[in-house]
Amino acid sequence: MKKECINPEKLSAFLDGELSEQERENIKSHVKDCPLCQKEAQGLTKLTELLNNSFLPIEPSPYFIPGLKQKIEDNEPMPAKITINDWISRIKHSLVPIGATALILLSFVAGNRIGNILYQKSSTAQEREIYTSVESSILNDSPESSLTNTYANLLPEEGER
Amino acid sequence: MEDLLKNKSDEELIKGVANKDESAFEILAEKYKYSVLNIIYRYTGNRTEAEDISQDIFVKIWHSADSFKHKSKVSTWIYRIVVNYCLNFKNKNKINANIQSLDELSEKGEIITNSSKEHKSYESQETDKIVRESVNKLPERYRMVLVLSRFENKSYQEISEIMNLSVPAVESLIFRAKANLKKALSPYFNKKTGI
Repeated sequence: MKKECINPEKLSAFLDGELSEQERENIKSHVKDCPLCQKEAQGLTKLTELLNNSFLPIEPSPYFIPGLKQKIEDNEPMPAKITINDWISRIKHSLVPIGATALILLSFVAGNRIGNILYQKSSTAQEREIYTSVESSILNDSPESSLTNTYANLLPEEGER
Repeated sequence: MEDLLKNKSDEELIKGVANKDESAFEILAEKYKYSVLNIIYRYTGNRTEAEDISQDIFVKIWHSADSFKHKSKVSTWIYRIVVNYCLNFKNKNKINANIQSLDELSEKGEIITNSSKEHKSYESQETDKIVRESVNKLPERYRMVLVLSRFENKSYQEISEIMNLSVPAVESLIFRAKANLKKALSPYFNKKTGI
């Protein structure tokens, strides 16, 4: 093959309908005047014909799709049988989160109740203290001959209560 | 229902298959069974194995449709599965070279083109067998690019996407496959073609 001849790879691609428009034009104009490239192109074309004649297409059998469906069915994973031990295991596994949740809820309820009791106790004592101190100061500020002052004098002193 | 599905695009069908829609799968399988079967038949040279392997490939499609990323065409994805299966599992029992003669295939009524109905001389049948044997002796990648290009009419660009190769690499592989075949068939080739 002459030096300026078409690269056989490109000639093969050309015959397969590949390459850009420009490349195709260049190859066409060269092959037209080059017996060596013409011979190479004829050889490749004949090879294509041989291949096409030797590998005639085949038709899938009528059982192709039914057979395929059967294969899929055979390949599907079988659902596992659940034994008593599995159930026990499942229950055991569920007990932990259920117990933890119940414990947290119980803690909230208990804490709430205890808090309420303590609050009630302390607020009653405080209220009484405030009441007594307010009451005494009001009575002490009354005029000497007033009914309020008289009532205040009847009350026991701070240390006597 | 099936009539509605028949009008759906490959993308819509594969979404159905991913959701385990058996009708969508059946339509997709009907659409591609011919191509898949013939690629494998031309790659292995054995009709019975080709049908078995084709079914295995559709089983794989059924199970892995949800992994399709919609980044390529569905057809490219299907061809890629076929190519990977053929190239990666070549050593398993299923894919082994076992060329059937045209007689065997014709007797079973498995050849469907009109030309098969014409009488083929004994010499011609033997030639066909020699050609198929020569193709089967090609390195796997040569054989696969040749099958996709020659028989499935895939462009070099499509083959590059299917086989994850560059376009120049595909061009080179196809040329080398043809060159190898020309060399292997040279005694007969010259006689038959008169070149």
